[in-house]
Amino acid sequence: MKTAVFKGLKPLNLDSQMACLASRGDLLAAGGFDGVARLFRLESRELKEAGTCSGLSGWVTCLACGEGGLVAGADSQGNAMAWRGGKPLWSRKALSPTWLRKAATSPDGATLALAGRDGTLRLLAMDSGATRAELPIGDDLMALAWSRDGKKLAVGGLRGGVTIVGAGGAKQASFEVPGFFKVVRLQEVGGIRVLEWGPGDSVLAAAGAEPVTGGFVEAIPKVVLLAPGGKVLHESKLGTEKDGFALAGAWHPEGWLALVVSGQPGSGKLHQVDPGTGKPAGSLAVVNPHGLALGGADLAFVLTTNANSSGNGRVKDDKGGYRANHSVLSGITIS
Amino acid sequence: MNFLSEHRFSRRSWLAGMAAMAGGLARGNTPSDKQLLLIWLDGGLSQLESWDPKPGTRFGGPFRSIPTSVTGIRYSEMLPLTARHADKIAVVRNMSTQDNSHSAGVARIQRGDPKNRGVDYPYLNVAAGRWLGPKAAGMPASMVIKPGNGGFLVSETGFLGARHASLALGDGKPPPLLDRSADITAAEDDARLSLRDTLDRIGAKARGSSLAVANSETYRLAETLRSRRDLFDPSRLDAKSVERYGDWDLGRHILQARGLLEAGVRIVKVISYGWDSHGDHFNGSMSLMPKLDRPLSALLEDLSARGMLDHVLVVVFSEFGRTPRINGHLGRDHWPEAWSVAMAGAGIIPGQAVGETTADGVEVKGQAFDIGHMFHTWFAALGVSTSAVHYEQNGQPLPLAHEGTHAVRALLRRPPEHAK
Repeated sequence: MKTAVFKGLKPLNLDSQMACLASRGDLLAAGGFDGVARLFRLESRELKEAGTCSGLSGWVTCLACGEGGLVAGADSQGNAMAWRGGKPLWSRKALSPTWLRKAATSPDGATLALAGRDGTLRLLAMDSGATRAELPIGDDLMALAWSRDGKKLAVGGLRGGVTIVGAGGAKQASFEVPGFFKVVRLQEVGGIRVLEWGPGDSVLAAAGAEPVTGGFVEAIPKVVLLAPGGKVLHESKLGTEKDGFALAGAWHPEGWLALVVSGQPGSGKLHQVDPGTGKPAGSLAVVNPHGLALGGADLAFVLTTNANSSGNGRVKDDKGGYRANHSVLSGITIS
Repeated sequence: MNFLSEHRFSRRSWLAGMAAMAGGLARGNTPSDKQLLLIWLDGGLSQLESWDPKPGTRFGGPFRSIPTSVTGIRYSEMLPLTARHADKIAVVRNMSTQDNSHSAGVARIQRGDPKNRGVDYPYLNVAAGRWLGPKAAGMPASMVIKPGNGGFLVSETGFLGARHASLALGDGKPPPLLDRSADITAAEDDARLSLRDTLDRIGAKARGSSLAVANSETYRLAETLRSRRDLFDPSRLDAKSVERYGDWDLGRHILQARGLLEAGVRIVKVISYGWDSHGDHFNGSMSLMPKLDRPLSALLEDLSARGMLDHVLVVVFSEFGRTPRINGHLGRDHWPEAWSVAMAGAGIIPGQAVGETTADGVEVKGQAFDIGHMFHTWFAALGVSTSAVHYEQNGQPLPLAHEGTHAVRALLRRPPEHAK
């Protein structure tokens, strides 16, 4: 595997904080803390603003892009919605009683999978929002991925469980991936935050962190490469307890795994994970990354929170007001 | 009377004296039936995910607010069970305090010290124990239930000295070495205690050490506690109650605290650690808040049903709140500028939210209260007049609560004259 060389491009400062990032083709969508998703088009290696999608509440916690400019998303209050060209296509209010965390579109673009804190996997028609199947899995579901052939999904939870579900919504298998969960005092910490099927659906990457503490939350980012049946092929820690969680990932067309990890404010990296060892082959320091999308073989987009984002007490802006944080969308070339 | 003198007297006579004095201090000149339960959430509870939610605003976070049993008052959806008991609770939403570090805030909030008065004041549980004394004969005035190690918390006593230290039950378990060794008889034990008392008195005279006094009293206290070890044994908690309060340490400890209050312990403080959510705060809230919500709602239900809210003051507090601003680790940092405390019982007017913050939660809107205001208010609720009594330290009178603050009239059924 060739070691990638990452180089940051001019970042795009966004007007508020974003919780998630999704892409398909030249379309990117970022979900905001304000219940609004922002759309961007990639033109000549530059991101151009392409409108907004409104109608959700709380945080837009997950987005998935379909064919023909279709974007679906869900929020921290259990609502789901889809838009085409920024105009509402359908809306499912209170689809879940609580936080919907992950959305993923089937490879054929026809089915939207949603999972979240109520432990239920929901399959919806992407173009109408109609429910096709519901499968109670249990646990707080934090990761979701369609296989590349579209025949199955992998769903991962807070306590480190992975469930494999057929495209029709029938449970096929489940297994535990150890080390992703810990109870620290009162707090349940950790979770599988990323699931991504690799080339030929022969490997499933599960990533998150090995928790160390609650409260402050220190955790060692970790990736486990699994055979489809759950056998651990490789396991690797991607830093120290200051480096926190692997929060987003994508397989590069050349067969390696791109992962972003984010921990204590100011920390963060984009890793090139070698599928042969599970270890990082190359890395780029990126401040506070939360989302990742690949724009072909030579471009990645990372959603981050601005630097100097933390601080006890009043941190003032240059006008003496109370400073809010914002997200930054950064392009990164891969060579 | 100099309460800091090294004069030695028996614990029983001292306790009786304190109780009589406290009774005199209480309204109506009758022995006070007031009790205090403090729930200390160490690290800093987020006001935005509890008592003062701001959904739909730039700092509001992902959660909703929900209606409560009081029309017009909304809590975070993180407190669904407690919201049913909002009619028993008074929330103060306009707290604005001084310290944004744990090292300063933990002590200063519990000492009621809005400005550094240059004197090491006792923590609220110790101070209230000092003024109210024991409630039931032989029971300690003040106890603490906390995770980890137990023992006497001398560092909380400030200038009052070690003999006022609260006994902490580590993980709710009986004090270590409580039981008499099987190798010695009761008579031998009495003889040893008597010898120890004598040596402690000699040592206290020679060294002027309040630790010697506290040491001696520890052994006397153990005699009482042995006879009521059912109160200090978490394995004897009723299973149905454990289920209602939650089978985690905060749930078990609040349940145990209720039992201690019922048994006549005057003051109980329950300490919970792990609330300093600088990172992954919102996932943390979804894990932590239910662990508070369930036992707090069960407690309020039980105290109300048993008529105990008439005389038990319950306070839920921390060293500060958490920043409106959400950091790059998806956490909230320390925020003393505008935060909330909650209280119930003992003459606190329930079913209200006193004070308010701006729409984005950044500032207190209008009048702000510091911790000194709360100390005046809580002492008033406990029947201790902060204008009529004071500490004495080496002949110097010291106020119970900061002179620059006052009791909050809106919170008290029977406000003192100085309340505003």
